[in-house]
Amino acid sequence: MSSFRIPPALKAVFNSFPLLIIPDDPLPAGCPRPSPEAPALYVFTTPEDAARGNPSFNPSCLKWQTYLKFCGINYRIVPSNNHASPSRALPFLVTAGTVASTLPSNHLGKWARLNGNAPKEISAENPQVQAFLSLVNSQLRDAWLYALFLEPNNFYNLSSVHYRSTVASVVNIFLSHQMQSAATQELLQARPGGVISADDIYADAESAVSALSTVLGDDEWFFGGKEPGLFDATLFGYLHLILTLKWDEKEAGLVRAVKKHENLVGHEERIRMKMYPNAPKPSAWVWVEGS
Amino acid sequence: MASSMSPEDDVFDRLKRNVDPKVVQAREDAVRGRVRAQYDRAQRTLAKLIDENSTLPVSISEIRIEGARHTRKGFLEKVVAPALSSRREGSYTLASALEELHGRTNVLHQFGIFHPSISIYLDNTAFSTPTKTDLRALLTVSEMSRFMLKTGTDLGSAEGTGYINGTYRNVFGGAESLNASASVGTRTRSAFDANFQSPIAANPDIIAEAGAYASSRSHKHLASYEEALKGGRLGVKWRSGGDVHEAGFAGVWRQVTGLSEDASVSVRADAGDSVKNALNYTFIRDRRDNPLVPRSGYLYKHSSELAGWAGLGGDVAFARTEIEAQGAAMIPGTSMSVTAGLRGGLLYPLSLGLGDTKTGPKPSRINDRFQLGGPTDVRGFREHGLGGKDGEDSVGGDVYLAGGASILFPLPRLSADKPLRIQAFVNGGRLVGLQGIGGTEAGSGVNVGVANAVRMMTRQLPSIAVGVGVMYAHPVARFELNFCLPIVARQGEGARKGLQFGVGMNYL
Repeated sequence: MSSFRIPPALKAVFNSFPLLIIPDDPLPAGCPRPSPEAPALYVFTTPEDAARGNPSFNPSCLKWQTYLKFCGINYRIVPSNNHASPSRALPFLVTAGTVASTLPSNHLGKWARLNGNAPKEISAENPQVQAFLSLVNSQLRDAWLYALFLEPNNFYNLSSVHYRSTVASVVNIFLSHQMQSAATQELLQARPGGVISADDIYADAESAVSALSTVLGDDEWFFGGKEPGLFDATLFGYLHLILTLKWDEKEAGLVRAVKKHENLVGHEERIRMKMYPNAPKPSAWVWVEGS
Repeated sequence: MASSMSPEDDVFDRLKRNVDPKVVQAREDAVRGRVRAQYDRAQRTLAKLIDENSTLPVSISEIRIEGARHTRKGFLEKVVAPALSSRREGSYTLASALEELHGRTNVLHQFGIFHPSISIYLDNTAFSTPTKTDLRALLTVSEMSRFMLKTGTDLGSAEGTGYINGTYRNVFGGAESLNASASVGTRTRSAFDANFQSPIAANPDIIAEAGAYASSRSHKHLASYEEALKGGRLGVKWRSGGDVHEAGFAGVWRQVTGLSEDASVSVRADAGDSVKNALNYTFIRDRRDNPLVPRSGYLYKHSSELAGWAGLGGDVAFARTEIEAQGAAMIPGTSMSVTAGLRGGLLYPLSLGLGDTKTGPKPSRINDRFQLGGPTDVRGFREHGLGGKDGEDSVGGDVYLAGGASILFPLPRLSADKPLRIQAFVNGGRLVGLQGIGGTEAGSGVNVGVANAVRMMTRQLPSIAVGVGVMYAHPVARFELNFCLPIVARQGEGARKGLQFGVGMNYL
């Protein structure tokens, strides 16, 4: 019992509008045109380094940047910042094709294994791998955060320059404070006592680096792999940056700790030579031990 | 003593007795009538006196202002002193002296710090001579309350907000005002604004302004992002011959953040921080009889912004201009009116910085581009529905042109002064983005891009819609309910067939 029905003739007239449909205009120049072939990995980097395919200056971006290369995936690098990411943190990936999907970093491993030739490696669930992964993600990461965000000269010379998002100095001062307090918060989370001691942090990192060096031994890749895998990429994310950044001489505890272990320096070099031939090389500074 | 008491007792007794209210009423009326008659007589006498003596030569040697407790003497002096005979050339007649004093009180009213009830009282001074009367003027003012606090709610076509607004008038006794407001809403998540205004040289037509604001707004109705703004502005506003000019400098830190899960790459590309430092200028000439539903007159408005140019700094550099014109007229011999309007805008990218740090023009960002479409500009299309889309996101454009014409007539059997009208309209618009900006070829790219955009706009039909509807003009906003039919549309544009509801102040 429909009480009111639009006469079919009227409906046909109504449906004929708009009378003329014109194809869409191209989007403004600022809108990126996704490539139909190559997916895009959004990382912290400069436009120049992105064009050269150089490593990102952020360890977690560099990890995925490197792992995707291990998987033989051809991708583009897009300079970006955390605001752009679906997970509020870089990196993330936009797949190729007309119906592009956006993947935060916790989906990248699975996606890379499905879409590339993932290296054969020991399972990440292995307790040994888990233990060493947590060394990297806690002790090494904490020392990295401390060295870059809480050491005043390093922060001023490196982080505040790398993570600068605007040319306006007033805004940068404000954002610098935000970054430093975020780093402090991160460090305090693992330290319920509320004390951040530089000596403890560096000592912990030093023993973590020693343990990593020991487990690598004379092998080419970690855990006896025939080719580099996700763990190698994770560690490279830190080692490459620790070895190549222009640290302040008084605040260079991390690079000193790594340089003591030739096999780790060699690990960084093997990946860099193969994957990033244009990347900066470790600085040739020589520290006189004990001075 | 006792004898003298008795008549008084009588008076009280008489008063205590119940009196017929009608009699009291009649008595009061009679008293009021007598007072009014006396006042009228005084006014008539005064008018006659002034009339008879309008050519009487007078001088004003003293002006006294009473009741201005919080207003600076120097400020008041600047306003009224020009009326003193010692400060002017030429002499007064009584009529011109009164006219001058009225003029001065009008200026006082314009500052908005006095109640509109300033009274003028004139008196002879001892300096009067038989040939010239010297006057002393007494202006009695009453100051408005200095603090005002207002809370309320606003409802728009797609937005509801609650606000609190505080005003501190006459802060330093020179008609300066401090205004602070805070609001929360559906689209405007939160907004704070503090604004200080002061007339320059005690002239109510020139106002200097300084302000600061912070806001967080959702733009998800047009594209998948939110924007947090923190900024400040400095400016001057002046009126001359009925036109309004505004010029100033503004700096704002914008943060494009809070992206939706399915945000397009176009939005992701512009996410993050950017600072815009810009000089701006706006000109408004509004000669319409009524800005909401004009029936005669015209409006011309243009606003320009120069961002990041030369040493201004910031992260974006462009010149952005918008022009709006509207005209209205009655059809002779009928109660129908016709309104026609045209709007256009151009965002022209510029080089950023100076000397060695100079970089070539860059493509515009989503938060700087124009948006077009919707019930208050191009009806028959969704809000911000015109122009390019990346997925669900309206990315806006750098060049636009929109025009429309409406004919309005009163509803049958309703008089023309009722705020209801039937309207029929045709409107259209075109919004395009510049191409090839920021490429390797520097400099010339922008001009080529603009030329190509203009060619695109002129060679192809704009998106067009027609419709009929009902319009209701409420004192604060104009409401419209239209039945729209898009005639020409682009594929991805939000053409809206059927009923469309609009609320707004500023229609095309």
